[in-house]
Amino acid sequence: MSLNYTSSELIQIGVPARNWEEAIRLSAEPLVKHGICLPEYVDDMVLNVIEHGPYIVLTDNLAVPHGRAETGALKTTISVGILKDPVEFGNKTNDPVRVVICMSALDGEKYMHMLGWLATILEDRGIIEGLANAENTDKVLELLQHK
Amino acid sequence: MLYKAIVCCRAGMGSSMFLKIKADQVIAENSLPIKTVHGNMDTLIDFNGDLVITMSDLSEELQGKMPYVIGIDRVADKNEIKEKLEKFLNDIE
Repeated sequence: MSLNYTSSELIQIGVPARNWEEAIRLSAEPLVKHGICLPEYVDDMVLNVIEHGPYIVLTDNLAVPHGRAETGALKTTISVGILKDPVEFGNKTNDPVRVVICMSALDGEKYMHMLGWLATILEDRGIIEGLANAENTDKVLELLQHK
Repeated sequence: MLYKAIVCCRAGMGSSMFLKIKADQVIAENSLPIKTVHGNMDTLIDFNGDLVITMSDLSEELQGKMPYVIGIDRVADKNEIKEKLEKFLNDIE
C-alpha cells in the first residue's frame, strides 16, 4: 500500500542539511526532479514555516513539510530525507529533526488515504527511530511498509 | 451529550488533517462523546462548538478567546491526545 505513496528514487539518506530550510529544500528535491511538484511548491513549504512556525515538526525527530496544493503540487506523493546531522527547526518539544517527510498533495481521496497511512505509521516511535538510523533506501521502504 | 470540536492549525492544510485523523482514532477507540470537524483560522472565528483542538503553539494564542482549547505537542502521540481530551471532558462535566 505504502508503495503508492513513495518509491526509492524519492528517498535520500545522509542529507547534508545545515539548517531547517536546507533540510526541507534538499529533502524535497526529488519531488521536483521527478515531476511530482513544481519548484514553487517547495518554496511554499519553506514559506509555510516562515509564516506559521515550526509546527510541521509533528513529533520527536520528524518534520512533515507541505505547501498549498495550488502553488504547484502535481501528484500526491512523499519524499523522504534522512538527515546526516540533526537540525533544529525551532520546535520546543520535538526538536531536533532527523527525518523529513515532504508531502506533495493534491486535495482529494488519495491525499486523505495518504494522511491516514502516515498517521498510522508515525504513531510508532520505533519506526521514526528506525528511519533516522536507516542506512539505505531499502530499509526506509521496508519501514514504511510496516503497516 | 455530544461535544463539538474543531481541529485546526494556522495554515489549515496537512498538519491539522493529520491531527484530526489521530483525534478521531482516539475518540473512536475510547468511545468519547466528541465529534470533530476540520477547520482553519478563518472558520474558527465562526465556530460555536465546545472545544478547539490544535497544535500547542497556536493554543497559547487562543486561550481565553475560545470556550476551551487543547494544544497538542506531539500530533502522532495518541496518549497525549487521549489525556487532554479526557481532561476536557472532566473539566466540562
